[in-house]
Amino acid sequence: MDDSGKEPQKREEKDSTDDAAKLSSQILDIMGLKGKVTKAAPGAYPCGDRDHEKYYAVHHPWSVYDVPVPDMEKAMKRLKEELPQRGWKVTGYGPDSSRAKSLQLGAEFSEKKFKVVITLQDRRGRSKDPSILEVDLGSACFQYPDKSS
Amino acid sequence: MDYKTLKSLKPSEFEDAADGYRATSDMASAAKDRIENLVAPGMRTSLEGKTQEAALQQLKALSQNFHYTQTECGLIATSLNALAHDLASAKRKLDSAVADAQAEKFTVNPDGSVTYPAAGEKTDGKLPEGGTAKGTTDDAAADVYRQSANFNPNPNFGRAQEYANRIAAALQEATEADGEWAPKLRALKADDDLTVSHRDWADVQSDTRGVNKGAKEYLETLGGPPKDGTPQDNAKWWKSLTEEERADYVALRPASVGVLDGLPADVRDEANRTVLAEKRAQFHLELNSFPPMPMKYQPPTSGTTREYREWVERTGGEDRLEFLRNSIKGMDTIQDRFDRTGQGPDGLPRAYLLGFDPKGAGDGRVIIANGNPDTADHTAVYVPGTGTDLAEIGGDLKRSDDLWATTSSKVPGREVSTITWLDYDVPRSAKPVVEGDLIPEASNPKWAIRAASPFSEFMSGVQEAQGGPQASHTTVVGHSYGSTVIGEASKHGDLASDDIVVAGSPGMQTKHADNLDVENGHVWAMKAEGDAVPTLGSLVGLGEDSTVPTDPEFGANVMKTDTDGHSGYWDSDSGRPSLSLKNQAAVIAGKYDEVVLK
Repeated sequence: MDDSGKEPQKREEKDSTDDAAKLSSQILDIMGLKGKVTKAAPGAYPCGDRDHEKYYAVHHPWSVYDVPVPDMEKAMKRLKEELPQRGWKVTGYGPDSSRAKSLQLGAEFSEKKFKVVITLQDRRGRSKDPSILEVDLGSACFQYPDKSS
Repeated sequence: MDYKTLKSLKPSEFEDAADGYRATSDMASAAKDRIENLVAPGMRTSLEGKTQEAALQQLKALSQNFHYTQTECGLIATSLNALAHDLASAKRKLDSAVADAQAEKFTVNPDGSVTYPAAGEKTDGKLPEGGTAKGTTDDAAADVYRQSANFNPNPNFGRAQEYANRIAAALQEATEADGEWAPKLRALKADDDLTVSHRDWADVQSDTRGVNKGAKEYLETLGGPPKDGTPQDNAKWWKSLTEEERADYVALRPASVGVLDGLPADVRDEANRTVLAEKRAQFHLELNSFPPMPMKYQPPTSGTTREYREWVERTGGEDRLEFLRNSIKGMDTIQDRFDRTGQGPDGLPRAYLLGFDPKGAGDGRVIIANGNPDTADHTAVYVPGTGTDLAEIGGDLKRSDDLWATTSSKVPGREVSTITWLDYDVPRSAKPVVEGDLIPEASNPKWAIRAASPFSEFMSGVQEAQGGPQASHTTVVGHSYGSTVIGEASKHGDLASDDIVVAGSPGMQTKHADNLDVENGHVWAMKAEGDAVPTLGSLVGLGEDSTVPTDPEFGANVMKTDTDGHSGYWDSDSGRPSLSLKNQAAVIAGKYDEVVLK
């Protein structure tokens, strides 16, 4: 999904954030967990160093919590297996580089130009705060459509 | 004020009226908060474009109206309370004099004079006559009466005169209170247009001064914060006041309440917002009516013209103009933050203005919290570095917002508060030649040394308002010279914090992390690719023995970065937080194992 050199696709912001919401929904479905989900909505942001009046990228961060860790572990396995069946490509699955060596899954949906990183923060024994499944969904750069009419 | 009026006066009626205005003030305050924290954010998500702009403009005006109503009704309530206090004092004196007179079976007449019966030793079979004593408040006349009492065969005369004098004094006191307060209360009438202008807010300032003058005695009964009190002392004093006394004190002294460490965040916020509104209006008015600068030079005469010098002396000249413009810019930036409440994926929480002063220690005072630190589970205080001042505070506020969002998403279900603390005289630059300093101002630790005490006190005040050291997990985050401030404050074992994070630190005035006032292992340092400041700092000796926090021998946890340069530590790419930012958030959230170390 390297868009360096290529002109970003023209898309209405609403269409892009709708896509993000749909993909997040899909991920949540596959997880199949009954817990709390943070209420963040997808938002549009300036894209890297590009002119922020012309270009944007979508970011949707959210988490699932109040779910037992073993269930979260099962959810991660399900994601690894089912995301490819829905058009995603899994780019990584293993411990991250923190001391906790948290399990992290990376995946790409190039057709829709989205990437996701999902991290299982198992906090049992090291914090009173709940363990969480952190989802970080982001898009490539898009271009605002020309203002015609 | 005559005897009949004072006798039947019920000061409690004024207190009841004060309660009514207080209730109105509270209602206006609640409405203002609701607009800012609920209605406006809601409109931003549901409306678009010009409709949204128009709606938000109207809401802002409405919110200003409510704020003005809140402040003025607060002043009216305080005035009525102070008036009631003064009248009650006069009435007590009156009632006491009347009771004493009546106990001796004297008659107090409608005009306040005291009629006494015949008494004393009979001469020629007759008792000395009774009479009527007219009271006086004149000292000379009172003396004459006292002298003549010695010659009066009726012993009642002397005492009746004394009672009449006391009654007269009470009436005079009441008359003075009436005379003092009537014009002040009349001045608290608003003009009849629906716009709250700069002039209206400037009037609030002068109204407050007027009420302060009148309420001097009433204020004395409230006492004031202890002189040179610790945050604990201040908190104790505040808790000792009733709700009403607190409201009156805030109405009369918003600037001093706003800066009192140890007081609850919402109290400081209300007080400082009033100061902000008043100062904004005052500065706009001054700028709008600033006399134009006359010709500065007139060759062939050397030096500046006399007209120019006189203009500088009268108005403060270009320096004052720059100060006004910079202050207004900074105040607009603060208002922008208020307007951002509710935005962003997690919904930026309500802002608390914990400190505000256009001058401060020289670069202005701005202390703003995202979310209420008094109830937060995780609190962070961000101390900016060189070049920061009120006018340029926007970038720092944004960093605090990003820290809040990234930390909050690490601990869903928990309350997070991030605070920007600017309350010190900030050196201009850390790099040579920048800002015209060959040797950068930041190579001198004196600014940090001076900042150490206010910073310590502030942190101690936050801890006090939270309910003690166990109430919240607290992290201080220092950027650049801000880390030197933290080092100074922390060296003497005086920092109310659990963790210390420093980014781009040129030195912390000590050579090992264990010397800082947090538990060993709780100091975290970062230096990004392309950040020259830590090296510069080690050369000028802001760290002891040229040691800076990212040196291995300093003993801090060195965190990995993925950003560039001295100022990129809070960057996000396309909305996604950088590792530099995420690492800070991990420490603030107390998730030490989730930090990626270098």
